[in-house]
Amino acid sequence: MKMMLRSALAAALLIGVSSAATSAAMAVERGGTLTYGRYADSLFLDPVLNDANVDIWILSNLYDTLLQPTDDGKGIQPGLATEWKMSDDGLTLTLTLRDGIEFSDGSPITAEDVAWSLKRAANPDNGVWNFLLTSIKDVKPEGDKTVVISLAHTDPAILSALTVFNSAILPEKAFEASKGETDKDKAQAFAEHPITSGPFMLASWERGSSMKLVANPHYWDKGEDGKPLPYLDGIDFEVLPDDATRILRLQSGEIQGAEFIPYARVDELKNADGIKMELFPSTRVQYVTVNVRSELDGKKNPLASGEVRQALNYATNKQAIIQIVTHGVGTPMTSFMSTATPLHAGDKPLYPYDLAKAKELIKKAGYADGFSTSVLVLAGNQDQIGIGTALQQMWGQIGVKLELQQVDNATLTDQYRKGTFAMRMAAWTDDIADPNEITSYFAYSPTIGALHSGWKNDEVDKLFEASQQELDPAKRADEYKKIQEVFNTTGPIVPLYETPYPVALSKKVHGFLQIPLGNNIFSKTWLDK
Amino acid sequence: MPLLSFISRRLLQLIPTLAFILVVVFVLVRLLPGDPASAILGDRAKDADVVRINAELGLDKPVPVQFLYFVRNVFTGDLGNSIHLKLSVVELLAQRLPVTLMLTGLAALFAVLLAVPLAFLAALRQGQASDGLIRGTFQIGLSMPVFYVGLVLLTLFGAQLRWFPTGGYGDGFLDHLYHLLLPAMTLALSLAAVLMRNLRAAIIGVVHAEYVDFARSKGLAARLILMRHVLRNALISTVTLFGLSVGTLLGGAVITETVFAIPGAGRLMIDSIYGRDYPVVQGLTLALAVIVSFVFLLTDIVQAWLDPRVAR
Amino acid sequence: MTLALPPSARRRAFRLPRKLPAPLLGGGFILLCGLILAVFPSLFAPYDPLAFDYNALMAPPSWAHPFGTDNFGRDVLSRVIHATTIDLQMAVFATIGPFVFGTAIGAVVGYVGGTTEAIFGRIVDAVITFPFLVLVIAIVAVLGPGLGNMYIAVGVVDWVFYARLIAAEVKVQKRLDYADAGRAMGYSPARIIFRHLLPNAITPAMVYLMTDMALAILLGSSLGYLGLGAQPPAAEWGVQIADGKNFMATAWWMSVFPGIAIVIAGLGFSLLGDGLAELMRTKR
Repeated sequence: MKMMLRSALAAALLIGVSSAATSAAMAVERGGTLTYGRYADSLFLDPVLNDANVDIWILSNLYDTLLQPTDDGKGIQPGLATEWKMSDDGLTLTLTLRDGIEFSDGSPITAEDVAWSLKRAANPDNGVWNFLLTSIKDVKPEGDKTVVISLAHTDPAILSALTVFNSAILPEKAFEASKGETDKDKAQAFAEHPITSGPFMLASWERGSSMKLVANPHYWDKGEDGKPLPYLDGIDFEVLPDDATRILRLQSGEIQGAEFIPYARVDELKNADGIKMELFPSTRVQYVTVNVRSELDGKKNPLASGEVRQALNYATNKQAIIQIVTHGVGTPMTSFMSTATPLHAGDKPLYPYDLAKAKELIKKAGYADGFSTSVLVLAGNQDQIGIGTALQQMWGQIGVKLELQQVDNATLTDQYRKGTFAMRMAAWTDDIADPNEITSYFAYSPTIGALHSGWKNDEVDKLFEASQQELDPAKRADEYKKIQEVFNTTGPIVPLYETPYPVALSKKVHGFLQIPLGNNIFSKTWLDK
Repeated sequence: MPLLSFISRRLLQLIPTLAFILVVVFVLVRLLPGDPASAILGDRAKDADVVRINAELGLDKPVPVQFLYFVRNVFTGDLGNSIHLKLSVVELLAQRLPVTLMLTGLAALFAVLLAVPLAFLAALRQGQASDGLIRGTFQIGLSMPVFYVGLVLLTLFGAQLRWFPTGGYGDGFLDHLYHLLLPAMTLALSLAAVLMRNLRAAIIGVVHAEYVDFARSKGLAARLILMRHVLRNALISTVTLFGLSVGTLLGGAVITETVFAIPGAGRLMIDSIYGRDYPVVQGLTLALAVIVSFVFLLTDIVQAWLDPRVAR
Repeated sequence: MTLALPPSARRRAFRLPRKLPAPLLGGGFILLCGLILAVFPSLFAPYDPLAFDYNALMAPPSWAHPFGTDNFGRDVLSRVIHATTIDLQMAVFATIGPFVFGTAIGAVVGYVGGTTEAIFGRIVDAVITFPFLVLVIAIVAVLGPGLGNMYIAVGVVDWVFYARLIAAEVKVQKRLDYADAGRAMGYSPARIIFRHLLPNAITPAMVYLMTDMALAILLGSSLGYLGLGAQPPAAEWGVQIADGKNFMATAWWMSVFPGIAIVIAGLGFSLLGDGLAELMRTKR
């Protein structure tokens, strides 16, 4: 009963949200191909072995998961599974598959395919996303329609994990029949001509230039008109790495959608003819990571002092940065995790600008005369350069001399992982509708040493470990509230701002959605004729 | 046949050059900070994942051992697989190199068509208004960054006049050509300016040289003098510069390719360097080295034809 | 027809002609102005080039800000003036070294020919095909980002342009009668190369040097686009244009004025180059 109620609730929530998003009782029109401009091409279309957002954010159009995130990115709704039930001890999850579901080649999606796909995703030797599924001990099919997941320990995030791209369902037989010895080789061969479970199939792919998807005729979901989704005949992704070119191509009508509009041009496009400037709520946070190790490069590290970090925080005029860099699109952070992340706690912007307090704090820390430090900036990234330039000026007022070091991504990551950086610019988006991923990376020291900053807080580590098995939602929320309090006051970051996903669409495009996790959802997208 | 032996000698000389470039690139890309796994995993990389993935790629072995494997594979025509694109490097090169060759070829053609006649005009009217106008215009072309020129051309001829597509590469040969016209113009602009300036100075220099006076005194038509003497001698340094510039263009049209969204070798190179995709950087360098060597061979042959004394 | 220079002609060559060519004067004037701006930028810039003005973000050109302000509210005119220092430095430092080194190598290679030339040819191949960005990133990795790296990276590649240009010319010149005359008179190869052949062969390299100076400034902008050029907050024309790219529609002044500065500087260099070429012809 409980489970039935839950999915009914989710469905109600879904209807509410989607009608708000499409904002229209207009009759949908079927057919047509949407051309969508992306800033970069995908690399590898395997749900388990991929490693970048360019893959993740479009994978859900090719592969369905058992459960799906709701449009606001916080809840769960049915996907390939219609019902799910957790045992009372919280260690056995039983899922019922939808009737009549098929892969894009017309073969049925069986419980065996599901069990195989999930075990592959949870295998610690496969890819880098298996940490989302570490609680899974085993997955067994029971008959054709039922899958039983047994857990090694209670896991409050397991349902959310089943909505994530890496737990997508692939056809076991076709995959295993692909050329190659290892799972990796097979995945490569399979991904060239994948058989999919999502609303679209891969038709062709010119690397670095274009990727064409066509509707999967065997997809299960139905549209408003009662006929199968998707509405579109297909999607053409065009790779247009230059922002200005992407916008130009949209304005000239050669494409109908363009992602990652530079903030500088959002206002202009809001007023442009025939274009809808969408700002989809996101889990994206922009911040500066601060190395808090007591020694850096053989010298005493002033950033190890909590007071110094607080001084830097108070000296940072976030509103000014939001104005300069995001042209007013961003909002100040109220916690290290975004407001769109479940269990986010905090209602006031962190560290409101207060130069007097900053000066006082830095004096108290013993750096009245200031000090020199540096920040790593991703070469050519205009947002990061803008932030760095602003910070240089702002921190200069409390005597902190900041040097910007533009380096390429691999060099930056190398210094980051080795912990030899002083500060670095960074941004984060969640992959799962749960606070556990961001908290594990940001605050829980065993994962990557709290953003490789050397920050460690025993209380936070204990709270996080407890929260990972806590089934009582109220208690878990409380644990997360405490973690956020500690991290936000003493943590190794200078929080800057949250930003939405800026997407510009032709006015002819309806029903497109980018959820807060970043996934582009085209299944209910349709075009005016 | 002296030409044939010249060419075959040059082809033989190619081998040590390629070997040298390969060794240097092979070692240098591995000395760059970072590694393929952490380059692509970025901030989410955990130490265990990075170690495991780099080991899967064979990058945990000593560099000399890796190099031996690589050389062995090169001899079987296998340049390895792209680490990030999960495609064979040979296949990638087959996709990207034709794009770049076409783009560079078109750009070189435009540059020559633009530079040669105008250089003559400017040189023959040295100091006059038309000379100043031509040089001024080219100077502006030379001083504009390619991304700026590209965007201006795209806005004007793509979005406003709709004569050309606003970027992309199209389908089929003729469509490719159509898509490449604007980017080729963009690249041609600064190349043409370099060639024009060099050629103009060379023509002026040669016109003033004694042997042209001598020829003129013999009563030959001025036109003939120009064709036979001036052009041949003036072109020597221009051809040299042309070869060098085209060589650098081949792998270096990254920004033009980015602005016009063309999947060429320049973008592949920069993506692969940033991603520490060693096999692609190696394969691409090898392929470009071969092509550039042929371009230089060609310019040498042209020079020998222009001035047979050079080949002696 | 004897083309060997009589000693008297050579001596005359080192006297300046009475009337200097007009391009030389024009180019010289432009660069002198540039030099004055580069040495004393603060005397001419109305504002601190690094000072923010939150109340005037992206303000269009006005009497207070003749070139407008950028997205930080910094005065574009002041930044264009202060950038002269870096840009003229870039134009000269990035090219003079390769010019001198390349010319010397090219002259020797062109004169000696044979195996030396074949080896040199392969080095040129290697340098030109070597992925420039691998080089830049490697240098940045070792030395950290900054302009010095750009000089090194450019220097490693650029010298072959001069060397090849000079070698090709010297090869032509050495077949001419005056070189034979020099050899017949028993001059040392070094003397023939550097006293006789080089002055006649250097014009293309000279003209290219002046083009190359404009190209060096432009390369700064390309590297700025990729984030590997001059580091913020320093003002540099190329980086200013790269930064202004997103604002071409809304704040054209951010990129147009630095662009004009590059054109003017380039014009100065090229006029100077043409003037020098003319001067050397009259010398002959």
